[in-house]
Amino acid sequence: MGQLTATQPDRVEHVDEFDAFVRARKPALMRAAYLLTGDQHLAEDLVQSALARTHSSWGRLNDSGNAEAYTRKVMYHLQVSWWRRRKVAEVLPGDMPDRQRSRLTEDSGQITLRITLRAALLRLTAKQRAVLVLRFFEDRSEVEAAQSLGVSVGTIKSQTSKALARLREIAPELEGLMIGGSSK
Amino acid sequence: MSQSQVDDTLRMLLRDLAKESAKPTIGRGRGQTRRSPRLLGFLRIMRRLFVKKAQ
Repeated sequence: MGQLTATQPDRVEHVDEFDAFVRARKPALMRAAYLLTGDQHLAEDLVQSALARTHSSWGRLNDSGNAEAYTRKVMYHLQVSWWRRRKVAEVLPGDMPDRQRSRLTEDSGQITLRITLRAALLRLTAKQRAVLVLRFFEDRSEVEAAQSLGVSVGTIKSQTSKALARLREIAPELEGLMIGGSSK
Repeated sequence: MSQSQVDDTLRMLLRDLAKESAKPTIGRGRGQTRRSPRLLGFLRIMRRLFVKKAQ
């Protein structure tokens, strides 16, 4: 009993620190998770699962200051493995905007663009999506992205190139805006 | 378009899309209030006390 009482303040401190970490970093983690899953509820599940794992190793992670990096790494790994498990269950939330009618008007341009990008991202493989998010959303270098996903730098390069080519193929509407002349 | 311009545009698009993670998924129903239940309870008690007294 005496031992329990002695460790309790430590435990309370850990809980407080973890709580503060979750409050501070959850919005940023949610943004990345949303890009990875394309759905708010799935993003919430992904972040919660990653945080649960972070919590179980909190003492070690907090001391080394690697908590966020670890959480993100778990998120990427979980997303790729979840996708493998339920490949068939992943469905598009809606149809791709009609290519004929997708000429961007000034009013709805941004919204159309967002819907198009989201739908296009969902048609990539989980790994391709993860690579794009790491490289272009989180601004990770190829080496850092490779470390996060546990793959080689060559894989990151090839997946990035494939992902961009696939985006160009799925959503030519985006071509003029972002991927137009890059690979030509 | 140069490679860096492409990268910047994709960055911008992804950041814009990521903002949707903070949007509420279900809108507030018609007639639903933003006031907290505690505040509503307090207001109900006050109304009961003062309106009854006035009557």
